[in-house]
Amino acid sequence: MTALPALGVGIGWRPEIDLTVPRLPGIGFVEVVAENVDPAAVPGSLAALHARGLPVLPHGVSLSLGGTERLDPLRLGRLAELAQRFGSPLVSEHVAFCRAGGLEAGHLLPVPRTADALAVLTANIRSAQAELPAPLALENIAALVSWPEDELTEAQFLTELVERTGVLLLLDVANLYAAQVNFGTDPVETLDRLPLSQVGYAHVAGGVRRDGLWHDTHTHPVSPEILDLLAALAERTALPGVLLERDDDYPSDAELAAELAAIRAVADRAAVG
Amino acid sequence: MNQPWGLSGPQFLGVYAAGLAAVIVIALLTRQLVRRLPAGPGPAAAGDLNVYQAGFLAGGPHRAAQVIVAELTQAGALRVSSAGNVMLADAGLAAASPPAALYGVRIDRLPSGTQTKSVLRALARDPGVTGIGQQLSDAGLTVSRGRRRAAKAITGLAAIALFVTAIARFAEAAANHRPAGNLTGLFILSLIACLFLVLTIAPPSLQTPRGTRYLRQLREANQNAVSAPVTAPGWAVGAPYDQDYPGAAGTARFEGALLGVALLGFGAVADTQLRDALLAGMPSASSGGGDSGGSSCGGGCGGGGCGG
Repeated sequence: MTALPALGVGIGWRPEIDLTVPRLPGIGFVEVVAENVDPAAVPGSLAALHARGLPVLPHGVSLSLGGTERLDPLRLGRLAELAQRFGSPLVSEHVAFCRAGGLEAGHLLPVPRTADALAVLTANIRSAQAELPAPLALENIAALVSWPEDELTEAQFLTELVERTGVLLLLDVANLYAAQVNFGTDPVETLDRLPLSQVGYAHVAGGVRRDGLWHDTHTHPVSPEILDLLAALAERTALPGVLLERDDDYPSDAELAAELAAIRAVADRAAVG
Repeated sequence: MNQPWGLSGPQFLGVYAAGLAAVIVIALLTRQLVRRLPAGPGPAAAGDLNVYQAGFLAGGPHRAAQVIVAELTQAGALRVSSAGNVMLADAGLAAASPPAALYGVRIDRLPSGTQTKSVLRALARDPGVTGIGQQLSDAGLTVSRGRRRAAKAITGLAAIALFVTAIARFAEAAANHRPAGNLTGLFILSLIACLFLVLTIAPPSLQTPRGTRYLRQLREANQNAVSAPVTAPGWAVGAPYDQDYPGAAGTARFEGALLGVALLGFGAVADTQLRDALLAGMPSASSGGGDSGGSSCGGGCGGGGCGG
């Protein structure tokens, strides 16, 4: 396997904070939601960031790799075009499905962790990899429900996917925390069982606990428990990059900068220690 | 053939056009009159006004609002996107800002996530900002509200007199089956012109001669400050984020930067990226509302979190 690119600490580029992002200290890369950026009409502020040499990673949210329907060539094409446009070192998507039988869920839904689902995902991942100009990394999602048919743990399922397809992992530690709160899964045990050398980068994000469930809102500050999990991950592998996801209720520039600094400190301390 | 009122159609059109010209002259004379009536004591020298007052004097409540938006954006209390959308970024900073402290401007009540023009409109109507106009009027730099109303009323009455003659002519033409097509065109034109006159003849920033002199002195005294490429610390590229609020009263550097905005508007913002962003949300800009935010499966995150 070739060495993964060192990305540093990054933030999700969003139109609302497009002038804030370049002014945040120490940003190493940005991630864009592929569905919101037209490769033929890239916003000027994003193009300027890229021109400054900042890596831009397309992040798909609607490919529905876990679905049984054929991958939408337009969605896959857009992901590929964005990766081409930005010369992205990685492209990412989710271990999830979001449409079936002509219905759009509007959410990332968990796939049943079964042999059949593995086969479907493996085929779809291979199809996507064949079309994408950059390595694909897959993200574990934050689910609110699980399937009674589950045969494998999340770690077993992701490991199997990696072994079958060579896909990279985009490990969302906030989503591991969600699994802990919502299903009682031990996130550290999950970390210990995952092929961490395949982690392309990590996500952190804030959420909120409501009615006993963890909602991965991307609109709250990152909680200490999630930073602890990031530290646990960084202690186990050399992380190529960590990205803060924030989608709304944006805090001040100073708070965003402080949150990024905290993430950087945790990742660095763990890596050194 | 008998001509109504002894005037043929073309002759009446000429008289009506002259009447319209007379209304315009009356409006301009009234404007000059209310400007030159004796006013209260003014400031001693250029520099006695703060940037909000200077902005109001130069361009009315809308300009004062531009000063506030530029200040709060530079300070980090407001955030503007390149599409011209403004949102509250730091409520605490906004509440402690000079416009809030000095005038009670309610930054927290501004529409968030909307275009610059909407924020400016809301700010221009804020009692704190309109109160600045009263201060300037009390200082004899702008025409008082009562006098401005009088100027508008006189202009409006002159216009109504003009319209009454046209209506009477219309009635006569209708009674005697005479054509009135040309008069209709001129009447519509006069309506638009008079409406424009009444709306613009005495704006809140209508300066007295003293106000005009004061503004000229202010421009001359601060030419360097206005043209200098000053950028507030909070907005400077690579600036630290732990500085005290840069717009604190008495910070000469900040005042200098904002004075350009007060005298010239957003066009004077030194940071080109910020300037373009602020102008993108103005009425003259052709840009749209910007892209939508990120969402799972392109359909919105819903109430249960994004999951991605």
